[in-house]
Amino acid sequence: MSIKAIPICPPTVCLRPEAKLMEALKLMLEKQINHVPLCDGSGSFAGVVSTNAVLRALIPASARAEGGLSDLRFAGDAERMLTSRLHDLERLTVGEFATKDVPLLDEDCPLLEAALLLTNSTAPLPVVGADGKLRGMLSRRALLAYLAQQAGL
Amino acid sequence: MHGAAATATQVLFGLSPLLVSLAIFVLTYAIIVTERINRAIVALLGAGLMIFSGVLHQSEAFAGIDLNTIGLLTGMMVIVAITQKSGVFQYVAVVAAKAVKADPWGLMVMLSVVTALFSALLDNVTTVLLVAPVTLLITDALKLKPYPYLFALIFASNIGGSATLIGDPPNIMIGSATGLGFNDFLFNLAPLALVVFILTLIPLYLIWGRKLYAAPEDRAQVMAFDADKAITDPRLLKQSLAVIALVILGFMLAHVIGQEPATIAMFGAALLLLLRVWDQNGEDQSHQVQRGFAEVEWVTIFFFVGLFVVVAGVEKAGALKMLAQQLMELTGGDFAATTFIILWVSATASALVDNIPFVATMIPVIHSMAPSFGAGNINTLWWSLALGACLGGNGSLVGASANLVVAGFAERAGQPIRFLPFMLMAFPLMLGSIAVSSVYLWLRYL
Repeated sequence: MSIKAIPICPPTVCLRPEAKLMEALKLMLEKQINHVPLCDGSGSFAGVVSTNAVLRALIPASARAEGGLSDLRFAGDAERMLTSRLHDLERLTVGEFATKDVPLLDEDCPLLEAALLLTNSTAPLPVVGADGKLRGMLSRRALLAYLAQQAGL
Repeated sequence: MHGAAATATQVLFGLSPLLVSLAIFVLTYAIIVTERINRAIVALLGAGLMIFSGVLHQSEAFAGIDLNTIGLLTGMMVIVAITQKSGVFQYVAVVAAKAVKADPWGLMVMLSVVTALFSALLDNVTTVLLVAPVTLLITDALKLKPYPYLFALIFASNIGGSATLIGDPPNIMIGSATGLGFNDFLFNLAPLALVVFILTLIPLYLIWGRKLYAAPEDRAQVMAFDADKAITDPRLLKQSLAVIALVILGFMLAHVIGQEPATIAMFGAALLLLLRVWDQNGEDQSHQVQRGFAEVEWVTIFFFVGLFVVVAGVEKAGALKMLAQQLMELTGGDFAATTFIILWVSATASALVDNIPFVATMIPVIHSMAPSFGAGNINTLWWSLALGACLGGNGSLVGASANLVVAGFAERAGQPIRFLPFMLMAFPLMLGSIAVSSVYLWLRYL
């Protein structure tokens, strides 16, 4: 059985790379989702934007970079810094901000392989059809919901 | 096996050991300079070739490895790897920044002082590895360009490192090869390091310091930093500081108690590990100890091992004695001229290539000059080698490992340091520090 059988729920929203990052953030906050995939004009996968990436961009580079500070308790709550950095992100488009380096699941990917890839990933993974078009994002929850249903639980 | 080692070595195809060893030496150093292949691999391959070609027996190669240097470096690396987890470096940096009310120029001076002091007592690489991130955090908060600060950090670490036996790998190697102790380095080199440090601040002020500005509200943000919260493990902090104090005391008393620095550093490392694990169960102990050892910079250690063997090869073949004779002819046996040549050549060479292989080669060269100048005088040559190698490291981004570490971190944090602009500023400043060193050597020893 491949992941084709799993209904992607909720239906995937998709943004164009030219969309503003703030639009993506508002969308994620409203719909209570953590990831928004991007599609180019032809409907092909063009990256993914996540709440984690936005949050990460607010952290100073001195802590974000490998070998950087692992503890920032001493730097105060720095709310002013965090909000001003969020303002700095306003001029970015989602295309400039998106991560493209994510493993893609093809529609015929077996369930077991999809389960393994999801366990090793921190985020839902994009499912792509044979035509290269994005079908949706497969989350851990969607996979587990399907398995639970099959198991009669 | 000892029988084989005792017989004269037979070099491959009956070639001259001098030529074979020189070819391996030049090839090894040439590849190290290109930085295309990891230097530890190159050095170990060169070492292997010295043995396979018959220049050295394995037993002679082992005898060429200076275990005192290796032991001191490894011991200090374990101690620092454990200590850094306490957050003490961030604590000191934040206290220093707040002491000058986050004033941009004051901050540059304070962070330089902190870096120089830590570099004198610990190794440079670790020091900058720990100070660079917190420097970037503070300059970020003050909306200042981090480059001038990182530049100052590099200079401070190399100048501070030149001040003591344990501050910089060249000094560790020289100390180990000559028996010069912690106090010898401190009394002979630290006064100069202090002068060079202060003099270096002048151009830094003129170029950057006087133009730096931070808005009051940004400075207020840094003033809101809470240094106490940087200490993540107070118990570890007490243990580490106690052990470091003991180890430094041990270095100072090394001559009196008749012990070598490697023993003291390794004993300190074991003591700190014991303090960490004594109340833990077996499994936790293994984890803790494994982590402590894993953070030793093994690439550096194996680089040393390989280099020592390569240098032992050319030394045994007589190449270094020849080099020493050439140098003596060049200076006409004049002691002052030899001192200055060693200083300036070491500085230039160390600016352009790693100073560790250079010093490893120069140690036997200077040793073989000792008969001409007398044992009392020869120390001056060691000081000029140490000063040239340590301060010369400031001349370019590749001059010292600490420079590369700062550049690497800056790049990862999106603030890359460019090779040429750095060198245009750093090389003349380095030459200035060597000129000051020349005056110092002249006044004090010649």
